[in-house]
Amino acid sequence: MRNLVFVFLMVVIGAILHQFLPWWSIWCAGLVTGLVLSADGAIRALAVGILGGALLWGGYALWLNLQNDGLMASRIGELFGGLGPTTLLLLTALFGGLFGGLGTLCAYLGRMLFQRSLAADSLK
Amino acid sequence: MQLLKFLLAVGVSVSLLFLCHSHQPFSLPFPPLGKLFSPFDGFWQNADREISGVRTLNLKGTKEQVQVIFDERMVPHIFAQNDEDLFFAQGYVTAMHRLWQMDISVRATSGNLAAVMGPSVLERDKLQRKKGLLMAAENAAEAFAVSPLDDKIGAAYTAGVNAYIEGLSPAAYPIEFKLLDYKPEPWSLLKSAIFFKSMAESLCARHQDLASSNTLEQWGRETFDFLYPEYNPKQSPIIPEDVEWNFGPAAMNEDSPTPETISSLYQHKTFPLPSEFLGSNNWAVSGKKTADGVPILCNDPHLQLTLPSIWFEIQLHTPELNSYGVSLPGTPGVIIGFNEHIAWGQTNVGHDVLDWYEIEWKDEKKEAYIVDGVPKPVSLRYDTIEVRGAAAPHIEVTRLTEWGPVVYEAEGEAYQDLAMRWIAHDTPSKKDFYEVGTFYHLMKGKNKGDYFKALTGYDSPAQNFVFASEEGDIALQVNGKFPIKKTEQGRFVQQGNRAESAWSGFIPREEVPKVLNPERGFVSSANQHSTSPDYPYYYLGGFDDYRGRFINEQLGQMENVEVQDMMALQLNNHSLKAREALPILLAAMDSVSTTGGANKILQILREWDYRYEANAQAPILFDKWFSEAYQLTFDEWKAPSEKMNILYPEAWRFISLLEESADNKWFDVQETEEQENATSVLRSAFQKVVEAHQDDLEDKEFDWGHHKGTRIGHLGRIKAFDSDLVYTGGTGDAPNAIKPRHGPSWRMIVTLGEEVEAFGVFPGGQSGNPGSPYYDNTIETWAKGEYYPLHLMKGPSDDSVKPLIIYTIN
Repeated sequence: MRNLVFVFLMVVIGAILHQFLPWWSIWCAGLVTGLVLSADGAIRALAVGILGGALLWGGYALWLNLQNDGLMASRIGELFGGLGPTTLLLLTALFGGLFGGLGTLCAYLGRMLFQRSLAADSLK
Repeated sequence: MQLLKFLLAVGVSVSLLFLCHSHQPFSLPFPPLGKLFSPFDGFWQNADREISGVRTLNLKGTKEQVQVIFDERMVPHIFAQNDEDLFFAQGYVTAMHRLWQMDISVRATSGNLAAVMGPSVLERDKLQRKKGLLMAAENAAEAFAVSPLDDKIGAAYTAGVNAYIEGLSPAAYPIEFKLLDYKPEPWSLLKSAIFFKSMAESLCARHQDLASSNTLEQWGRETFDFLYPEYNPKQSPIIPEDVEWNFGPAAMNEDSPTPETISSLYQHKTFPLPSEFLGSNNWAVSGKKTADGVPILCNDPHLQLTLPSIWFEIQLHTPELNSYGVSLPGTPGVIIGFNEHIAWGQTNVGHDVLDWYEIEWKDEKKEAYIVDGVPKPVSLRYDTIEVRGAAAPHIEVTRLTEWGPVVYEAEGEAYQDLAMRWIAHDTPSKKDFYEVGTFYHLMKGKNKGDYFKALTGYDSPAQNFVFASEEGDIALQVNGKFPIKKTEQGRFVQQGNRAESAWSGFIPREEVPKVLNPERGFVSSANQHSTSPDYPYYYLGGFDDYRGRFINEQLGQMENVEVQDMMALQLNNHSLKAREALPILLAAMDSVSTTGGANKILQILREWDYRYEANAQAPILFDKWFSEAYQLTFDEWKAPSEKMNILYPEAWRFISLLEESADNKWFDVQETEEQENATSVLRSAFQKVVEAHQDDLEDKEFDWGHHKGTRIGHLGRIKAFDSDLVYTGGTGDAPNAIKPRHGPSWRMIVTLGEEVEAFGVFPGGQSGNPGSPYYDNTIETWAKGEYYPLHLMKGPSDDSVKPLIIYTIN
């Protein structure tokens, strides 16, 4: 449940960042989410990022595609050797998930590193 | 360990981000995939939403409020209070729909493609610069800039385009910018001039000087004159034969001999010529011949059919001007159109205005060339060509002579260096207005006086301007800047070392061929000869032999003409060439007994009405038969080397040989022992038709529409953005000149009664965006031969139009 809140948070952060930054906003959204995320384990962190990224990119693309009756998607699909609109939507979600996931993972691992050195310091 | 994991994650992230951000990473043919797939930035943003409603734009650059009403086909109707605002808004809305098309057309013409596409297109860019396209545009733009009218309109249009570009976020760039990963650059008056030169390049750069010289050298004068007569005696010229010329050739000495031509063979690998499939029809019928007693004007320019379409439909309105028609994205104004008083349209003039001169260099340094024994220095032009991915730009050096740029040359070799004399290079002589002004005056025109005045500003590419007015006048002027040539001058490569090889001036505008209200009650042009040979000035060129004659024949027979008759004529698939040739072909088979497939084929052809209908088989069979017979007849026609160009006899000449000189030696086939004549050639050719097609006859897709395979291709050759097969009839020799990649790019019919009534259609749509429903929505209507009513709105609240979107520009 808590993880779902983080997925939602990531979607919101991503949507906001995308208004100001180029396409790699989704990776940044992963970073930001990853920093506040109290996930227990790298896999969880990764999963939140993948889900958040895929949801934001796939969802928004789906929304745009529905309003366009799939016109653009069928043209671009043809450009990539005859992919259907659904495949393009999945690919979009995949890209979003990939970069979103990498973002949360980087942030999580960075934080672990930082916390570990803090912990090591306090032990001294 | 933890550190390693962290560094690994960061490393993978950075590499992948970089990879998906790069244009063609590792030379792979990929656009930046991350950027492209991001729904906030990439192609999903080009998925046009169904938009409607009212929007307000606050732009710097307009003086007063402007309203733009987009109708149900996305045609903008612009209502402004003054000219500057009008053309500002035209620039703005054109860019909104066609920005990439504007950019790429200008790049392709001016030799600026490598800057965005890389080294693979550098050779093409170099050739464009060498041919002087950019130089020509610079000369024209300089002239536009000193004409108060052209400058005012051009500057306003430019500001409008740039206002749109400035307000554009990268996410809103047209899809092609994203795929090729580059940014739109600001527009300029020079770019509009480049656009005019791109039209000149398509329409008045065809020439056969090298091929003609080679053929003359190969076969000798007698054969040349026999096979390549300049004038088809059956021709029905644009200016009716009964028009008399009340002037002699002003600046030409009648006694001057034909300029000496050089006899040698030209081994030049010539640059690609513009398509020979370009052409057009226009005509105007006077009220004497129409059912309603008011003139009707029709025009259908046949150009390369592309997506985005070459035309952009528009209405332009101010308190002093109200005009509707099609515009060219990149130039201000309406090019073919009408207002409440007059209508106008164009077809191309085929006069040869591009000649080649062989240069005699003073020495190997090629710094000076000889004219009448006197050395003259060349001037050097340095063109900088940016190349994407290259460390430094390429500098192209062109030698300029009084004959024009030296286009064909070889460094340090004994070579026939050739300079290109082209009318489109010339800086226009001082006038009050130029091409931009011409269309402005037409848009504002009220009568024939305004029409003739408007045409004085227009030089190139020369066009047959047709005209009709509500006052009842019809007219047609073969309009442009034409060189005065001695007989046969420019037919062959000329000697650049003699001053007398030069053109002896230009035909005064009062003396270009024109006709006003002829007795026969109509004017028409379809790229045929401008006049009969009695016109006082010599001209040569490439002229159509069939469409014009057929149209004149049809218009001559018509009475009580209605709009439907005009539509039927524009859509007529009748080929006069087939009508003249097929009976001769069939006569050769008269005493031959045939069976099976051969019999069936003959039967199909005998029953044919010469119409290239989509569902007919006969057109395929006739075309095949005709071309096989042609090839068998002219089997001697081989260039001595692959690089060389030679001239082939025209189709009409071949038909007249079949008709009049059946035992001519050219009919003998070289490969065989026997002596062939026209009949035996036609029979052998027929045999080839049978062999090729006897098994196809039952095939459902064996018909003209599939065989011709018309498709409308994307301007940037992105196949995914092409149209599907457009199943239509038509052929180049019929009024409905639909070819595989070319055809009627706009059909317009205007009746000039008390209320103007107009109809039009072009194959494509108003939007240049492949993700828009308005990208290709009119193709089907066009293919079916239907028209849209064109609404010349009287004001912004005119209810003849149902607004889709309304923009208010403050």
